Amino acid sequence: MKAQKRKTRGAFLMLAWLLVAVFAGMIAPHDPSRRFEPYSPPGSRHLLGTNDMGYDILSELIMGTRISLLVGLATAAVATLVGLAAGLAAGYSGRFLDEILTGLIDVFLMIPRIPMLILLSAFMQPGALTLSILLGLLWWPPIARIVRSATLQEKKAAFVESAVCLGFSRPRILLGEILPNIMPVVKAKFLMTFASAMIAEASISFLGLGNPLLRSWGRMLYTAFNKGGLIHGMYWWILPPGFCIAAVVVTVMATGMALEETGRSPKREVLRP
Amino acid sequence: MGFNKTRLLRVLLALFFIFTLNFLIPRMMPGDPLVFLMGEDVVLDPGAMDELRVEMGLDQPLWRQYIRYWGRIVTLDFGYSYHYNQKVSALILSRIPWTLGLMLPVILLGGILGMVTGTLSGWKGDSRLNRGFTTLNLVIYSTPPYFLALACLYVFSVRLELFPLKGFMDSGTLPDILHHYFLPVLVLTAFFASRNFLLMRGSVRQEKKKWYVLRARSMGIHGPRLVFGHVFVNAALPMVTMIALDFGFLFSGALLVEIVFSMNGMGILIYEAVLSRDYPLLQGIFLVITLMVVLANLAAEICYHRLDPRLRIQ
Amino acid sequence: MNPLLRIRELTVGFEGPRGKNTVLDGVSLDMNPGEVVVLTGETGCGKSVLARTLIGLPGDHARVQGSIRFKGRELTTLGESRFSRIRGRSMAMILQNPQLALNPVLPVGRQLVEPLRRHTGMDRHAAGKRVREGLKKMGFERGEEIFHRYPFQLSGGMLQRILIISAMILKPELLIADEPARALDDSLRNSVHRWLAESRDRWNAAVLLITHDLDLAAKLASRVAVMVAGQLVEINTATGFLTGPLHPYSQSLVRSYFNLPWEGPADALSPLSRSATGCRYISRCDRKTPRCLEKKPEMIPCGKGAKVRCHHCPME
Repeated sequence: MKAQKRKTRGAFLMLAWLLVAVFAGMIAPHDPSRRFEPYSPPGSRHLLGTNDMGYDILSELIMGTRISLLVGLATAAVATLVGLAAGLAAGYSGRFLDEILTGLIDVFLMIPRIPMLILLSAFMQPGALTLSILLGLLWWPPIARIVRSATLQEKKAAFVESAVCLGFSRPRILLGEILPNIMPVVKAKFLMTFASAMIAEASISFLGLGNPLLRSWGRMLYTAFNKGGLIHGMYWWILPPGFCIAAVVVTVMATGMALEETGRSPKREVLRP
Repeated sequence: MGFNKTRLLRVLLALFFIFTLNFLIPRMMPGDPLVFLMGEDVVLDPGAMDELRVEMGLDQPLWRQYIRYWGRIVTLDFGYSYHYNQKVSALILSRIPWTLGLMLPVILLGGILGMVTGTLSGWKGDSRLNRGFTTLNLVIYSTPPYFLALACLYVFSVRLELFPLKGFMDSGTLPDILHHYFLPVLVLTAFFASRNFLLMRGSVRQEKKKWYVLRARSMGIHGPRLVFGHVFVNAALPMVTMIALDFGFLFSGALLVEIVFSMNGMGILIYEAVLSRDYPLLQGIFLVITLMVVLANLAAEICYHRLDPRLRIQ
Repeated sequence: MNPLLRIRELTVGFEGPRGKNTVLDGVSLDMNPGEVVVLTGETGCGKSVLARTLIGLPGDHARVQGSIRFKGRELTTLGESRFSRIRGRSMAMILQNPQLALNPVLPVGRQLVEPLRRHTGMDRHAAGKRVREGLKKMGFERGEEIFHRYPFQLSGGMLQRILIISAMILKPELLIADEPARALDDSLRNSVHRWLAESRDRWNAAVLLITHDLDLAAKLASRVAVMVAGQLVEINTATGFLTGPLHPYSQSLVRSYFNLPWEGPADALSPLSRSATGCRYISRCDRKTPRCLEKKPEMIPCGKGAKVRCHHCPME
């Protein structure tokens, strides 16, 4: 009903952001590495002014879409792949493997993620790819957990049907059945991870921990905060990156939540008619 | 109590694992482990560095270092910061009260506010007000809290000059401290409250559809007694875990906001450690946070088990 | 004399993801004190929605049209707080899932005491005593123990019994039971209906019993109403229904339930007519006329105290 509408609307918005990220080079009015007069207020040439190094803020903002979205997506991809593998393995195999994997997942779940990320980033000063991998390694356990419980549920249903009809189906056939059925949950979690990863990357960049060449929105906030943007009241510098982060995250989260609502299989609901 | 043993085991295992990671990481980084164990801000001549290497046990085999490491941890010796010239544990202890003063009110207020508003929102139907308020909460939750902090700081301190721009106190009197703490508490409470709101709302919407609610209503129970006596009690159970975990992240939760408001707590300590690459301090703090998180996990489990009669009675 | 419950042209629709969906269509029924009316029909035809609409809880996004008069009072326009004063007191409902009908995190005793206190203002001790007495009277010797138990510790049969006690404790004048024995096994099934009959015998309650079990209809019911796709197609006395059902659908129900041979003109499973005009049961009917193709039938009186949705009463 309503959730369906929200889902499609969210999908459209996300697509729009992706397009901006892909075509950023063409959309940005200036080359973000080209230097102009630093600290200029907004004007006709520079709609959002320039920063401390003289770079056009609007161009930096548009190009920043690429980095911020890329890290988020890459993380979500890594986390989902690992989480899916682990969750499926845990949910589908026998008790022994399940116990081991669940124990592993629980242990990893207890790692304080942001502090660990800070520690690792301080040591390694990661670029976009490394950061995505680090984030992915920290964000896969929640996905694995959900995948595992969904697999367990599906196993009961699919097993009954297939086992009766086909005798003893091969695991691959069952995976072909279970996997499609848990996809809605996985998709929703993918989006939520995407959102969390973007916030995490922004936080790390805001602390100045990322690679300085990684000019994401978080990094822009770091520069704005530390190079006098706040004190001089340069709201055109401080506010836009934050708004962008918030905008993308809201969209992704709302779509993820709508996906959760529409993806619920009717037969599994414990509701009254 | 079967659960306790396996759970406790898992928790201890997690602690063990993470602490081991903390031990291994600096020693596995490319480059001189001494740098990773001392911090990059420290400049010493090669002779002093060699002495330090021996003192730190870096010339010993790995397993010996490992045992030493645990020996120190058990005595709550979390290392020494060469940057500050103080023991890490002392540094942490001095900053804790300021962060507590920030986070405790935030968790409690954010918890109560979020859960109550979330319950009401989840219970009532789809009105314009309800949807608008839910969207507001969604936006607040999606906004990085430090950005919210930046925006607030800009509006209220720079532009309107209602609140102080920096620091945690000027004169040290209580009203003064409260004045400084107002904005950070506001921003963080908004964040936590919005998260709790969203979770509680979802939970209540699910509970609303259950049979026992229909039965209670059919017997004439309505209004606050129905919502808070029946639905809230069930819907709040998963939230208990969440809030217990918040206590685990007491120190790191306020990190970025403390930076924005230039406060004097753990968050700033972490930040300064990052800036000066004071690795021993970072690692020490990481250990302390891990300990708190793990303990909070355990506490959350225990709480949950005691509250839900289905788990309590076996 | 005015009937205790008077339902007229009750129509209930829901807004679903694919547009509006009419679940009850022009239902009219009267009920009097001391009578047991069995409402039967296939699953999903709207019987539960009727039960819930009567008690004022039709569900989210429901549009209710028509009239429900209970003790002379119009219920469809009654405000929530006023309605809640009637629920559990003058009218009560018994649901089909005893395992899910009680709050899992509160003790059973407390949930029985709660409505009692709400309606009578008794204090905790007096209400507790009354509940414990009620439990004992219904055969729970260890009423004290049950009082402090949680729902998950009790069996389905015990829970249903407790729920019935709870519904009856204030002697409601109208009892609505929605397949109360569905989740229970046979031995308990009879007991459930015996307990329901108590309310009729002891204080002349009217009982609306929704069930598929026609044996019980035979034992308990004064009248039977048959519902198909949200519409009532027959209201008859119990004997009348069982010995000579008037509507083709009732006929197939009775015949299949009691394993009687089919004596109709066409295949009993022939599809119902989907045309917008005319009666849906044309293909299964042996007394159809041209009028049956043109116009949808209304409920007409037919025989002693019976009504059928047909153009022709078979009794004539």
